[in-house]
Amino acid sequence: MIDVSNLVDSENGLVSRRLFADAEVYDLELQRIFSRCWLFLGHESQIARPGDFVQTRMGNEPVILTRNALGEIRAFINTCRHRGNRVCRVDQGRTSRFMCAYHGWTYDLDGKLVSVPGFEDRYYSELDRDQWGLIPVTQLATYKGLIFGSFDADAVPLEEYLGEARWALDYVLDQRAGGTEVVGGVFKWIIKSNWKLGADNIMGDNYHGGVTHKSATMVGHQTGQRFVREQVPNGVQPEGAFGHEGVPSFSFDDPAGQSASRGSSDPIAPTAAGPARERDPRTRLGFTAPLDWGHGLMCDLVPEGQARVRSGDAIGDYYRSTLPEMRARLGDLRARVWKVNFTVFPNASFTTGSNMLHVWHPLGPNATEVWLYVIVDKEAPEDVKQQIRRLSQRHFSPAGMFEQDDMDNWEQSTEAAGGMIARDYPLHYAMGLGHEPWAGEGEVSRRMDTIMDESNQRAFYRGWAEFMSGKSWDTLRQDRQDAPANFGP
Amino acid sequence: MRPQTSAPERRSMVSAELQHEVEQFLYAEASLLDEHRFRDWLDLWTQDAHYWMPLRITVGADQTGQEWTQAHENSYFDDDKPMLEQRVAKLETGFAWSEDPPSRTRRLLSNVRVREEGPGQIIASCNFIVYRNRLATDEDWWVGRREDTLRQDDGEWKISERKIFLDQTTLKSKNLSNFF
Repeated sequence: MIDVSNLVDSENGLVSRRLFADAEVYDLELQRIFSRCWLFLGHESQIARPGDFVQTRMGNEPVILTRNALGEIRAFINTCRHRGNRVCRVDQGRTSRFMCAYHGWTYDLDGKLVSVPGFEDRYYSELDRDQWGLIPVTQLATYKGLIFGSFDADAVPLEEYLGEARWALDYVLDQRAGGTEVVGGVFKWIIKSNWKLGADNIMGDNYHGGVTHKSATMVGHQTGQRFVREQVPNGVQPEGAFGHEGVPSFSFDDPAGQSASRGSSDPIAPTAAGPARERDPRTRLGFTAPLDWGHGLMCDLVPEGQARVRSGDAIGDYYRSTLPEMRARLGDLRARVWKVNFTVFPNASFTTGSNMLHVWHPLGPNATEVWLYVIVDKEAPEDVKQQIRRLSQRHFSPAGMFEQDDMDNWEQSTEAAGGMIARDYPLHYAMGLGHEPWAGEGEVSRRMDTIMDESNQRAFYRGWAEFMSGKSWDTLRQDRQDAPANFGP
Repeated sequence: MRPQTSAPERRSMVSAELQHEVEQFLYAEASLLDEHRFRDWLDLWTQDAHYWMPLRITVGADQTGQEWTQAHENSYFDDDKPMLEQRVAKLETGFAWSEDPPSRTRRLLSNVRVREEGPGQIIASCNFIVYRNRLATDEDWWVGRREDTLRQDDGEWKISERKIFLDQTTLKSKNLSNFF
């Protein structure tokens, strides 16, 4: 069996390409990560009423997520206990029973086996139906509308697992009293990429936008255009350009950069136009927070004394009108958030500038089924929800102006990872290593004053290595208490 | 409102001449895309154009009316003319990596059925196969049905609406960096 203990070199920021191509590594991931960690299953609004159900996934298991007659959330592996056939073949719906189409074994919304054809005369009433219910997801818990599950009875409680990622989750889920809901329809598509490439990108890659997404930003297609600054005395009013995901752009409006031939100019160099400090990702405001368990968040802020609001249209008016409520609920710092992107380990990635949640379901070492949800405030007016949905899917979704180029890159990274020679050349995740500008005390304790750095990716692969070591939850928890210095100040 | 997904009448309700004219228009339009003549292609759209491709959901046989996302729900495309122009402009930047090197596409249209929708306006339904080949071995096949509203504009046909109904639920492609 492959030795996974030396595939991630945290001290030097090196990650073996075997993580992105090796079948043995993948099998161990299913066993030690996807069978243990808390995984995102769905949003409560998808199963609002008793009997509502959706199909979801946990690792390589298809899972039915439903509500029983009492309205309690239930989740089971979608496989009959008799011959293993799927007991549910549709993506969503409403029912009181799941009947296997093979021999008719039938289960209720609690997963209990309630009907077996021939129970009396063929099984002589001896089949213990209580023992042959659907295989349940071992632990289920919700966090402000999001439903998570774990197959490990020993997993730490969900809130402990989420830890400081809750700072960002609350920004997504708790701006308003009514909470959130997901827009109808989950984007689902298959990419020939390892699942980790998407997860490590969204949680902290502010580096790729100037190159990968240059075409989208050049034609003015930016979520950032929804944002303006609130007028405050002496406040800076930046004009014009913003970049990928609502952050100030750093190259697309640079005439010199555009006229230069491809690859010959530094796409992350600050531009002459506009307030350079705010456009340059090396100096602009915000922070990076590499967190426990492999999570990480990267947050762009507007200057102190200002607030993030959006401009002009229905979306802008909405966020302007809800800002006081949001500030009262979440505080001044989060009222200054321009965007915060983060990944809840292992495979749930949020991009707040586009109201999106990507889930990276593994299909093998070199294939991923991406599921993409649009999350909106439940109380938002319908036209606002519509505009957010339209903008979101134009940015991120298979046809999205940003997304289409990301997917193309990750497929090729994955393909190249399998090379017999190349696979022994590790990937470089060392940006900023040894230069972490740790900040002092704050709302997020483990934060550093940078928004272009690969600390989050290193935290992701450190978390990956810890789970892959097979250590128990107790040991992992103890390691954290013993050696917090590994993680920061 | 649910999308109009039912097939039009069994027999074409228009003259052979109009049928021929519409088919030739659709073939010519498809070849503009295959030839990457995107600006010329944009000229075929009305200013109030709408380009829409809903998601498809696997539902039971008793729920087939609910297998498409509705107008207010998520969709792959929900574009107006300015958005279509932005997509074309993106391809022209020289930095649109998912289409550089460009994909090689071939569009096959068939089963064209036309019905008149009042003066100077018709709805043409057709089946399509869009084949995409890229780099060495990337390959995608998209099969589905399209429903196009064409309008007479200064003696020319223009497309005012396109609904694209794909025969996949989980999309078996890394992206949709092209047009249907």
